Amino acid sequence: MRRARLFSFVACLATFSAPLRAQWQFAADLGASNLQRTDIPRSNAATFGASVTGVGDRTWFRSSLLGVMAGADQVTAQGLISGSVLGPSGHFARGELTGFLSGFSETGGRGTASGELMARGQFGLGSRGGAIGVGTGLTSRDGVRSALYHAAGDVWSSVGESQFVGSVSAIRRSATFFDGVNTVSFPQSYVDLIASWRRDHGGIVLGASGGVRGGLQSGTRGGAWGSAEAAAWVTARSAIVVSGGRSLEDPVRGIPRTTFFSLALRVTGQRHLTLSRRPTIAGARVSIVRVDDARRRIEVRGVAASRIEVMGDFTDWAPVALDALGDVWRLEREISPGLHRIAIRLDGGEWIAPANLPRATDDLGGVVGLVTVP
Amino acid sequence: MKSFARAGFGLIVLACATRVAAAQEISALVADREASAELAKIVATVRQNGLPLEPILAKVQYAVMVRSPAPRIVAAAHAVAARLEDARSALAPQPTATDIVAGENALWSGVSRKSLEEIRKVSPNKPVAVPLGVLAQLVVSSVPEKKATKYVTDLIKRGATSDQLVALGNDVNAEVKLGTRAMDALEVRMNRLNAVLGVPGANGDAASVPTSLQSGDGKKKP
Repeated sequence: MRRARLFSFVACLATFSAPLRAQWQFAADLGASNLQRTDIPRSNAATFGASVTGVGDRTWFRSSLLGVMAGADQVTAQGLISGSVLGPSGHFARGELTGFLSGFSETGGRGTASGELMARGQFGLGSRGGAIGVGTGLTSRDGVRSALYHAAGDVWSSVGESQFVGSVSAIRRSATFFDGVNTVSFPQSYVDLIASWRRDHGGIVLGASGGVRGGLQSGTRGGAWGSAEAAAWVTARSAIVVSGGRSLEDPVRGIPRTTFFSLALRVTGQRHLTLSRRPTIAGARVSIVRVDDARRRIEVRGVAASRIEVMGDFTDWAPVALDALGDVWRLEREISPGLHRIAIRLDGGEWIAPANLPRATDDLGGVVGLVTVP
Repeated sequence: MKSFARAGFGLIVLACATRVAAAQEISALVADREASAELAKIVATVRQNGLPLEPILAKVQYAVMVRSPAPRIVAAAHAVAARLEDARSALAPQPTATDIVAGENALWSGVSRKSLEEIRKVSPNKPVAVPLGVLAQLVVSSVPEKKATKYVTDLIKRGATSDQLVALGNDVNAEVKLGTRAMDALEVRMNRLNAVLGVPGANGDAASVPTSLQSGDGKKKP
């Protein structure tokens, strides 16, 4: 019955989300772990995880599933479905309404389900920003329901290929337990401080997270946690993933405290750069880098010549000689941002389009390279 | 050959004279009278319409450099003037001269007017020269125009910087040159940009997601 409900829910989501303009992605992990959980002694386990993500202009949706099998009688499963509706993009501030549904169950236990609705305000654009929000929801554990109240804030910043995130999250809920005669309820509050870092460089992705929890009211065990992950992309759609660390109990979702070390094969529907060494384009390669607000430096690499000239719309199509600095030929001048046409000449030969640029045949019959200047 | 050289010289002088003293009578400077008269008319119309002259001058200079015959130069100048008008109208209401030139370049590269309008729509008050340049590069690199426009507009909405956009265009070009399919190259590079743009965990960063043992989505959220 439960499966039928879940299937119906997923089918509804798929049906209603299909017409939305979104980019859909999926990822799956199959791996082996050595783990220890509050209710599972240290043991080896097989793990399977999967996620589906859809990102639209003003919506996003994600569902993920993780199963752990430490033995025939020690199986846990956890799932999360989340979705969000956002205000118009392109503004410094925008609102967001997010819903979460989660479930956790284990053999021999009756499981935990929770749902939450959170309103957030996002600030910033692109590489850095922040968000604050408040939410409320319900947690049902062993059939006993309790309300939860949640306040959270995030800041994030990207530098090059790295992204840094800091979060604070405060939760207040009623913890319940059955004392043999009655169901006893008492308030429970705690605050998490979390920091994480992720770097995506070529075929390697590294990530690390850590945090501390402070219990403000009875019943919550505080402490510190940390985990790290490294993924090596062996093909465009598959990676070997090594991860390890420890996490604290998630009282809202019912996920117990876990210490783990895991090795997994990750398969994704989305392509990624791989570890394989990328060949270099043969021939003269041109790049243009920013020197200051107005000036740009044209650099030519990959050629052996005693004289290199460049011309383009930014030189009024007059040849200009470059200066050699080691293997790199350079020229600095003012160039406006945008698309420019460029050609180069080696040792007084023919004018050619640089090898690394898309080339176009001009309506006057000449061949030029196209380069966009930042 | 002699008349070609004379025409070429005349065109160079025309270009320089127009830039230095726009109001000068230019027809007297060109040996090929018919062509120079036609070019003078085009330049006057473009100036009168408040459009930038640089693309036409650049075209003439380039034509001289590649030794194009005068009638072909006139035809090319006509085409540039038409594209400038089209770009200005597509990038309305208040495009800068740099935007109009970038729009003309994009139209020349095969980008449609509709795509220019879409770029302007998502960036109404900011310069669009770099996004248009990257869009043109992608289209020339065989990325389908509709897809390229969608990706570029998405990146603008997410606040991608000029440097990030330029890097995307250059990286895709390089991958295509090495034999990768254009859409595959674009997907890979977009995936990397998604990882550093916008709200962590809500930007389609699927490769980082799913299955950490820490919590359901590995993001520790909420």
